[in-house]
Amino acid sequence: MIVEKGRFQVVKKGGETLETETLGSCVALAARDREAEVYGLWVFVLPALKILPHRVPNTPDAFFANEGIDEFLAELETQGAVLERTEFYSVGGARFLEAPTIFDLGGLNASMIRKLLKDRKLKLAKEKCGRPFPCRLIINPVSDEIIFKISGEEEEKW
Amino acid sequence: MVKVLEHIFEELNTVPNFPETALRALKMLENEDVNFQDLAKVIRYDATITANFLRLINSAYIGLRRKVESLTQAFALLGINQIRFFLVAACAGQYLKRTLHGYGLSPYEVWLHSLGSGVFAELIAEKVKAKHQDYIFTAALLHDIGKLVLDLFVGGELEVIRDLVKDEGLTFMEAEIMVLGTDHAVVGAELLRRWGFPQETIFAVRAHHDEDWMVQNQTAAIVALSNMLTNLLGIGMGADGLSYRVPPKLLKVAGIKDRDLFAIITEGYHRYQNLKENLLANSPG
Repeated sequence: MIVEKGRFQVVKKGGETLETETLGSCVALAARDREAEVYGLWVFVLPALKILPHRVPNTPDAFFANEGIDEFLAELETQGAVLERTEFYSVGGARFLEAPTIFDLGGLNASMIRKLLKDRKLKLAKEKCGRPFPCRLIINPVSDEIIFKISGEEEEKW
Repeated sequence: MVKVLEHIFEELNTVPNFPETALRALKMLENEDVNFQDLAKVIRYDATITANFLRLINSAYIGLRRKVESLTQAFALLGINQIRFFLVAACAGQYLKRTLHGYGLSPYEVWLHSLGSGVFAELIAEKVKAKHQDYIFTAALLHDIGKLVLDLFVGGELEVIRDLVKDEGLTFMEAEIMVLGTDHAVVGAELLRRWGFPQETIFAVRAHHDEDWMVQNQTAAIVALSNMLTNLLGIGMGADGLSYRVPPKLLKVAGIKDRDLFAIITEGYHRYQNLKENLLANSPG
């Protein structure tokens, strides 16, 4: 199942594979609670709603890191995850080689999710953000694997 | 390198011409008072363009209340800029639905990137009331057409090109030039020149990764920005990804205020997503 930008999905062990599209500067946050066998994937696009001069109609909260995180965490808990022992992985957040700060969405997104997790005393097990190349993330709840793919490089399994 | 360049230019000769029908129709659309009956007569003889055009507008975010089944019916409902946009998009599909192994893109991703850039260009052109919207749509939809020709050559040298980006801090385009003697923007511009597109469209395609050239005029700036925003969202993002530099003046030349950029990203993504979902739903299979 493809998890579109601005959306999240949570599944239990044996459920459908969760996969991002190519991420660009968007960040994918993967969550895995091995004991409860709960897996979640959320892809957000912008760090916070308040950076928009006005709200764009029909934009879900999950489009924004700041507004979407609690909804995602609540869904993980509903499915049985215990957040304190859940491992979180953030990937994507691609950055230009050189750009004015306003174009550094990847950098903003990556630091925002780091902060939001820290504020909630949750651990980021791994972060793979900031490269300029396209990447994707796949969660396989059958094999219990989180797979990170970046264009032109060997995939990593966590 | 000279030998490689020779091969690249040989490959250029193998790309089919842009449909004459579309070029004629675009020429007619330069006149704001174009007669839509005459326009329909020109386009309807090309069944592929007509079918693609109708499929696109029935899939679009423009909020048509009922299914449009003929060109004249469509023209009565669309603005002249929308007609231009969907006409070029209807033709671009035949070039941009091919796997680009060198750039790591499936045919579907190549097409989505083109559509995404077109959608962003249309939105920005609307917001800033750009002067040359016809040039902007065409250039945005066709900006990566040069990848079609360079793909084979980039594929053979991708590792070297990526190493130059990673280790030397070169942009992907600079690395393409170092290794192949040219880059996909130059090759794309050459294709458009051969097809007889206007100079401003050719320039915008040529400039879309060049940080000095893209700020020379508003058309080039909007086309470059549309491509960047599409890549920021990861839409059909090729192996080159964000391996580029963004000039500080870009937003100013495009006519956009800094604070509006994120709203454009959000709105553009909705429009694109809407178009994509409807295209999938209306796909013949």
